[in-house]
Amino acid sequence: MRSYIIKRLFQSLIVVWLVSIVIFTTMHLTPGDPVTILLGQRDVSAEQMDKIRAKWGLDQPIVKQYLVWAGNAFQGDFGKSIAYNGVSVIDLVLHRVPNTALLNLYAFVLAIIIAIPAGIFSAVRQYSFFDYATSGFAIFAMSLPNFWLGLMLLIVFSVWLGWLPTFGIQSWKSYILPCISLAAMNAAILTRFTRSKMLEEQKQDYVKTARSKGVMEKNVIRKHVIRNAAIPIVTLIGYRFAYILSGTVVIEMVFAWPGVGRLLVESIFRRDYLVVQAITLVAAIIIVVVNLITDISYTFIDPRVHYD
Amino acid sequence: MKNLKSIFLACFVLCIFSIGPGTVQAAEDESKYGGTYILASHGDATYLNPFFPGRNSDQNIIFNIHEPLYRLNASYELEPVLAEKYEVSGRSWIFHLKKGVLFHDGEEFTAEDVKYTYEWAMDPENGAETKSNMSRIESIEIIDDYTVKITTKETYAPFMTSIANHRIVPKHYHEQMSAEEYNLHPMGTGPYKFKEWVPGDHVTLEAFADYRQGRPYIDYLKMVPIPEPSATAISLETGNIHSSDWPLKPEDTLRVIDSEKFHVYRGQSLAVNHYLMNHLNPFFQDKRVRQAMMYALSREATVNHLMKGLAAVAHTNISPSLPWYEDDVKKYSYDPEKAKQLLAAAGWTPGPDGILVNADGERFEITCELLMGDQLRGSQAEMDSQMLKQVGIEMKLNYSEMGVWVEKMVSGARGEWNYDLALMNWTFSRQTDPDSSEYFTPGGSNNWINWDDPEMTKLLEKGITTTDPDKRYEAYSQAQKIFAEEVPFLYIQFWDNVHFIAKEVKGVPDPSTVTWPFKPVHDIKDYWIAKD
Amino acid sequence: MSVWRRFVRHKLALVGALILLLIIFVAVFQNQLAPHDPYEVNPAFIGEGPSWAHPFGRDQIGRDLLSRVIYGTRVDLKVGFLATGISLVFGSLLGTIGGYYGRIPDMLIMRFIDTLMAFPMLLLTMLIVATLGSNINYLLIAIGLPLSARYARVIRSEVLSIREKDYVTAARALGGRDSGIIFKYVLINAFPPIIVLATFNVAEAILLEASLGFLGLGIQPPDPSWGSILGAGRAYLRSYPHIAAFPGIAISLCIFGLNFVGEGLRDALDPWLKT
Repeated sequence: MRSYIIKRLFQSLIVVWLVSIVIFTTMHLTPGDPVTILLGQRDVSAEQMDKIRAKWGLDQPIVKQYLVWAGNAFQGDFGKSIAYNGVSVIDLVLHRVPNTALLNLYAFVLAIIIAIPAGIFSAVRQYSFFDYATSGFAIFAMSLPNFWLGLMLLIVFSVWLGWLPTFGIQSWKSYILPCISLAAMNAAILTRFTRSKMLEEQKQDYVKTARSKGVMEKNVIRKHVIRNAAIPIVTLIGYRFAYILSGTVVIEMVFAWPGVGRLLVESIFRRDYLVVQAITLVAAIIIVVVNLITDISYTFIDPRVHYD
Repeated sequence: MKNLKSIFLACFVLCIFSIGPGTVQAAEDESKYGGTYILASHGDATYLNPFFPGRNSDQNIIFNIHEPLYRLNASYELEPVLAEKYEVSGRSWIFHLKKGVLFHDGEEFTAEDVKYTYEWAMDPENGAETKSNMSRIESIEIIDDYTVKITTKETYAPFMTSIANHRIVPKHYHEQMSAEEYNLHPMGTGPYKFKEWVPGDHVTLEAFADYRQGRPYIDYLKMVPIPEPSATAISLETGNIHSSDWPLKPEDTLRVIDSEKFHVYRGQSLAVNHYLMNHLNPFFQDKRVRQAMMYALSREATVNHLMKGLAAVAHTNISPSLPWYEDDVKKYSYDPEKAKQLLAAAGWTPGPDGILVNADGERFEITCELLMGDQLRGSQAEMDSQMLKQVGIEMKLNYSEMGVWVEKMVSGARGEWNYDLALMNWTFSRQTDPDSSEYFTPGGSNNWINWDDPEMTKLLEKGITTTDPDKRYEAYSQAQKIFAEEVPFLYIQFWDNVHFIAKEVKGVPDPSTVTWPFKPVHDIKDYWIAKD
Repeated sequence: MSVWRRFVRHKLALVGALILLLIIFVAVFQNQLAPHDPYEVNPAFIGEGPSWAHPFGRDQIGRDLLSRVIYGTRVDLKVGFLATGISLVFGSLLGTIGGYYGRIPDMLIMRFIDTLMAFPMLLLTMLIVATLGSNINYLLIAIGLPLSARYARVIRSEVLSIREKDYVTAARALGGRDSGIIFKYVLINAFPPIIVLATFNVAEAILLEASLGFLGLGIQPPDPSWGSILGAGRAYLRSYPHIAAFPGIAISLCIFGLNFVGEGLRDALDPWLKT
C-alpha cells in the first residue's frame, strides 16, 4: 500500500512536469506575440519593440525561458503579466480566485441540495409522478449547453423582466443566474446518478435480507441504501469538481464575471503567456491531486480494491 | 395644532433667512457633492500611465489623474490647462505655467515637471508610446519655475496637438520608480486621484480635495470592464451604469436613444471605416481596378441598413466634420455596370464561374483579414463580398486573433505582402490636425499599405512645414483630390460616435453643442449626480 | 438480438434515436430541406423576427436563419463524428500498444494520457485552436486529441485483462501473429464500452464546437455551424434574441438524442447492469 502511494505520487509529479512543458510550448508556438498585441498598432520602432521583448525575457532561447519560468514557478513565483504591464501574476489570479470559487461552490451546493433528495425520492417512489417529473426535468436540463441556458436566462430575467443584474458582481443577486446556469447540468447528472445507484443498492441481497428481517423501510433506506450509494456519488462530485474550470470559463464570459475563467480566456487572446501558464498549471495540479486522492481513498474505503 | 403652527413659523423664518443669494447657492452646492459615477469600459485597464495612453479604457483614468499644458476640449478647441498662455515665434515655443497647482501629494507643479516629462518621453530607452509626439523637439529649457521654452527641430504646425496629447507626471515621484510601479500608483494634478485598481474588476478614482478649481462634486469614478457589447447595452438600459466608453451596436444605440433616459452625444468619428489595401498585390496596381471596387460597393446600403443611418458615406480620408475636409473631389456612387466596364478596360474578363480572370489566367481572388469576434465589421465584409462577387471579384474572409492580425498589418509597413485587404476604422489625421504623412508617404512608420505617390508625398510634407492656415488648407485639399482619384484604400464611411450619460447626471455638456467624438468622463469634474 | 431488444425497450433511447435519425436526415438532405440560400445576404431585412416565410427569422445580415441552422447541422455532425472518430482511432492505438507491450511503451503512453487528462478539456482545445488556427480540420484535431485519452484508458485496461485470458494464449500458441490476435479478440471484446463512450463523446464534441463558436474560436463565418451562429447571436442578444435561441435549441436536441442513445446502448450492452 505504501509503495503504491509513493508510486502514484511520483507519477503525479511527472504528469505535472509534462503539463508544464506542454503548456509552455503550445503557448510559445502560438502565432502572435504579446508585445505586438500591446504596441503593434502604435508608432513604435523595431528597436523599441526589441527592447520591450528583452525586458520580458522573450528574446531568450525557448529552452532557457522554460527553465527560468519552471524554476521560478517551483518556488511559487509565477512572474508578471505582460498585458497588465507588471502586475504580478499571483496577485492577478488570487484576486479572481474567490469570485470563481464562490460561484462554483454555490452552484455545487445548489446542485447537491436539489439533486440528492430528488434522486433519493425518485428511487424510493419509483414510477410515481414525482419520479417521472424529476426524470423529465433532469433529462431536459442535461441536454442544455450551460452557456446557452445562461444567455436565455439573461434575456428573460435581465432584459425582459429587468429583475436581475446583467454583468459582473454587484450584489448577491448577481450570483443567481450564473449559479443556476452552472448548477443545471450537474444537478441533472447527479439526480439521475443518485437515482440509479439507489435502485441498484435496493436490489442487493443485504437489503432484501434486512427487509425480510422486518427492519422498517425508512431505516433500510437510511441505514443501508443511502450509505452504500454515497461512495460512488461522492466520487462523482469530486470528479466533477476537479473539472470546474472547463464549465466555468464560458459562463464567466456570458456574465462578464471577474473570475479566473475569464482571465484565462482573455489572457489566451492577448498571449499573456505567464498568466495562461500559471492558471493552466494550477488547474492541472488540482485535477491531478483530486485524482490522486480519489485513487488512494479508494484503497481505504473499499477493501475490494487492490493495487500492486 | 400648536405644533403645526410652530413648524409653519419655523419654515417661514428659514425661508426669509435663506433668501440671500449666497446661502441658497451654498445649500444647493452642498447637495451636489457625493455619489459614484459608474463607467463601463470595453477592456480592462492596462497601463495607467500618461506615457502609454493608447487605449480608450486607460484614457478615462489617465486623463482624470493627469493634465496636459493645453488640451482639446469637447469641441476640440485648444484650451489652457496647466499653462496660462503660450507664445510662438518660428521654432521656439514659450509656455507660461499656472502657479499654485498641486500634485495629489501636495507638492507644487513647476517647469521641472514639464521638462522631465517631455524628456522622459523623448528618451528612446524608455520606449514611451508618446515618443512620436515629442520627436520634433530639439531642446527644452527652464527659464524660471513657471516658464518653459521649447525649441522644435523645424517649423512644425501640429505642435500644439502634440502638447495637448501629453500629460505631465510629477518629477519627484515618477523618477523614484519603474514604469511598472508607476502604472499601479499613478499621480498627477488632475481633479481625481488614484484610489484602487482590482485588475479585471474595477478601477476607482477619488475626488481630489485640493484641486485648483475646487473639489469635484462626484466622490468616486468607478470604471468597470464589460467586454460584451450587448451586456453593456443591457446595463445602460437597466440603469446599472451611467455611461459606456465604447459605442454600442447600431440597433442598441437607437433603442437607448429612444428610452429618453440619457443625454445623447452624437458626433461623427474622425476615423474612416475602410478596407486597407496592400499595394504590393499586383491586382491593385491599376487605378481602374481600385476605382471599380469603389463603384461595386453600395456604401449607402451599409450606412442605411447595417449602420441604421448612424454613419455617413466617406468621400475622402478626412472626416467631413473637420474644417480641413474637401468636398470637391471625385465621388463614387453605387454603379456595378461602371465597375464592370472599368475592370474590363483593365484587362479582366469573366471566367467560367463568373469570377474575373486576367491575361495571365489568374482569378480575381483576394482575402480580407478580419479580427475574430469583430461582429459588426464581419457582417459588413460579408455583405460587401456578396456585392464584389456581382462584378466578378471573389473576396474571401479570413478571421484571426488580434496578435496575428496586427502582425500582418504591421509587416505591410516593412514592405512585406502578408495581406490583401483588411477592414478597419482608423483616423488618418492627428485628431483635428489633417497631418497624415506617416500613413501615406514611403517610409512612413504606419504606411501599412505601401502607398507611394510623389505628388501626394510633396503635398503632405508641405502641409506640416507651413504654418499659414490658408496654405495648409490648399495643400490638404489637393492631397484629398489625389486621394479620391487614386483610391489608396477602399474608403467606406464615417461612423457616428454616439455616447450616453444617464439623465440623473447634471452639469454635463449641452448635447447640441457637441458634434465631435465625445468622451463621457473626460469632463467629469464638472458633473454632479442628482439625488432623488 | 437481445442487445437490440434491450435497446428498443429503453423508451428514452428510442426517442433519442429517432431525434438523431431526424438530425442525420436533415444533414443529408440539407439542399432539399433548406428553404433559402443560407449565404444570401439581404441588408434590408437585418434581424427580422420569425415569420411564415422565415420560420426562424433572419440573422444579423439578413440571411435566412432556418437555412443556416439546417446547413450548420452537417458541419456539427461532421465535427462530432469525425472528431470522435479521430480520438477513437488514435486512443485505441495508444491503448492497445500500451496494454499489449507493457513496460516502457506502456509507461510513456500512460504518462502522455495522464497529461492529456490533467488539462481541463475546453482549455486544451482552446489552446490547440489558438496555436493551429480555426480551420475545420484543425478543429477536429483540437477536439479529437484531448478526447482520445479516454479510449486509450478503456482499451488499455481491456487489453490488460484480456491478454491473460485463455483464448488469447491459445491463439498465440496456435501461431497467431500478435497484431492479428489483438484485433481479433481484444478489440472485439472492448467494443461495448467503446461504442457507449463514443456516443457520449459525439455529444461532447458538438458541445465543445458550440463553446468554441461562442467564444469566437470555432468555425468562422460565413460558413454556418450551430456554434458560430450562436456566437454571432450573442452580440445581438438584446435586439435579435432569436439568432442565439434557435441554434441553441438545435444543439440541445442533438445532445438529447445522443445522450439517450448512449444510455440505451450502455444498458443494452452491459449485461451486468441488468438484474
